[in-house]
Amino acid sequence: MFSMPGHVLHSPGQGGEAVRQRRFANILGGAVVVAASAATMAVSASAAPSVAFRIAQGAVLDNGEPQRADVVAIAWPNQEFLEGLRDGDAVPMYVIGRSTTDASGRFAISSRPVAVPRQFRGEGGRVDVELAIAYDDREIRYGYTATPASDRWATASVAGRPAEVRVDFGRATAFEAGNDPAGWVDANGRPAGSPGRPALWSTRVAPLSEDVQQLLSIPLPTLRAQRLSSSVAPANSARVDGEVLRAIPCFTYAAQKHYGRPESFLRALGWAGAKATVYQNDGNDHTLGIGFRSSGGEWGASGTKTISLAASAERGGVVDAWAWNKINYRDYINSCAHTVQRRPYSVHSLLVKWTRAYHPVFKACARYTGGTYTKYRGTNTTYSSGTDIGPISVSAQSGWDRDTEIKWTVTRATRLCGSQRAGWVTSREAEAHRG
Amino acid sequence: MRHKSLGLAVALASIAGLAAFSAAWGAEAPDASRNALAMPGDSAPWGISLPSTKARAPYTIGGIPVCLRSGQAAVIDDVKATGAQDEIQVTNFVVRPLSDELFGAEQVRLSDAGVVGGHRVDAACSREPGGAELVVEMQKARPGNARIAGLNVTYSTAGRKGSLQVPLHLVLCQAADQETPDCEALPR
Repeated sequence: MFSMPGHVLHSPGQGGEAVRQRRFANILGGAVVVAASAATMAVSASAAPSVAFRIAQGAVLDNGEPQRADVVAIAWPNQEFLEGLRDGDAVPMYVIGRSTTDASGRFAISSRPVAVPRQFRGEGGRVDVELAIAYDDREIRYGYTATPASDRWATASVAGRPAEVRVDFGRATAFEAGNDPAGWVDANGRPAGSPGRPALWSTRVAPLSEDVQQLLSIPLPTLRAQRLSSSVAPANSARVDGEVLRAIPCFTYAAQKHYGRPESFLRALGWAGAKATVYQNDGNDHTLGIGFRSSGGEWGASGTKTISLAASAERGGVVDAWAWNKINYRDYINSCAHTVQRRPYSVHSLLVKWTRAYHPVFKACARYTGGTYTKYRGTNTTYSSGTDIGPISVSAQSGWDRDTEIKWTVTRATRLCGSQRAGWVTSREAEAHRG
Repeated sequence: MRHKSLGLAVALASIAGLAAFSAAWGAEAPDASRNALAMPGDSAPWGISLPSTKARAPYTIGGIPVCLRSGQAAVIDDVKATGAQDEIQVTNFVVRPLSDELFGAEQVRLSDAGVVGGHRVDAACSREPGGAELVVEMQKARPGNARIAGLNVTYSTAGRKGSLQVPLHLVLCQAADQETPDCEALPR
């Protein structure tokens, strides 16, 4: 197993790295040369000591049965870096680590927060992680954003807990255990998924691409150097009949932007005697779905990316309405797999659209006759089709912080109710009605 | 020999004193790192602003969910306002089982509010109904707008003391006050 400063590579399966080396030994004809200088440069920023925490963990199944599989965790560049890329520019990636599942299908990859190069760390040290999971000549991709806490890597979508990714090739599902699509809702607040599977789409299971084969077979230092380089220059060579053959490393390049894709931010549910005001300010995180188009042209979703809003907006006098933001997305194309990822890119505009919302009546209620009642933050509901990215709609979840509020101004007797038994204070969603 | 005995006695007394101190500290000091009492779900802040409130008049506010993260039961010993404590004081409190009818916010004494309960919490966060309802009576000392940044709930469980910070931002407003956001007068 390769070991890099700042990284602990977990391989629950015995000799996972060796197994991968054997399995893919001939794919590139062994024609791999280490680009040592690039690797050294990339890793030098990661020498600061700290503790490694699990940045990727989970289980790989096939119709519910644990399987031996290979997993690679990759970090995408941060927002600032991505915004500097022109169409056609290669996107450098930082290979965090690899793992092979154990007999129970479990995998784990750890990293020290400071070990990830600076260009791959965003606000608060967050890292956009992509998992490439290979099993039985097939692959699944899944993305999420990990944020370093004092004792863990946490994800926004599961209220500060580490990502626990469940992948099932037979059922074509991939999701985070704490954010099961079974709990997602549609625009009317009704269930929009079953365990592991959203109602509208399934995870794309693709044939094993050359890209993933390279990710699994190339020695880690070489792989890191290749993927960190924005250049597409070949990194290895061999000779056949006097001709130099080069295995060109796979890479991802930035492509078309899609501006102003609508995202349903939240449902503001009130009535004439308790109208709502919605605030959305700097620092508000939104966890938005990533679209994935297979080489065959079929669209699905492959996880999420959390972006932070750098703008503010407010709207008062709302009764029953969906508040919409507009988000910019961008396509990223893999040179080998010919797949497209449509990923959240930046915020276009906030609270720019309001549409009428169905008003469910929740049961756990407190009665008020006057005053204002403000809910500051909390993990919002995941809307199965919260963001329309064009060919499909993917999930959207806003994690509120102190600068994001919904406030009801009570002018007549009102019942303020929560979607959960503990009432509006700690429920994911709240509504106000006459009472 | 005499000096040795004296030294031994002093050492034993010191050890005994240290042990007694440690025992007392263990029994009395709040242990936030092993908090048995919690709020269900995300302990996100929330705000309540009541208009046209009077000084030295009781206001009862409910709907504050608490639950047990560990242990069999906890007894709430005290509830205090945090932030500007001299502005608003907690004068009474009670815990009752969660129900669909939570207490809102009224200008009424807790003992007259029809809320029946005690100080014991035995509802686990992880099991239905997921917690209990804390209802608190407060009053402000002087006229004007008064605020708190939260409540500090101290409790006992299994011989230990603990504390829970409840992120309730409360404003007891004097009247309509254009300079103080969230302090509106009741409509006529």
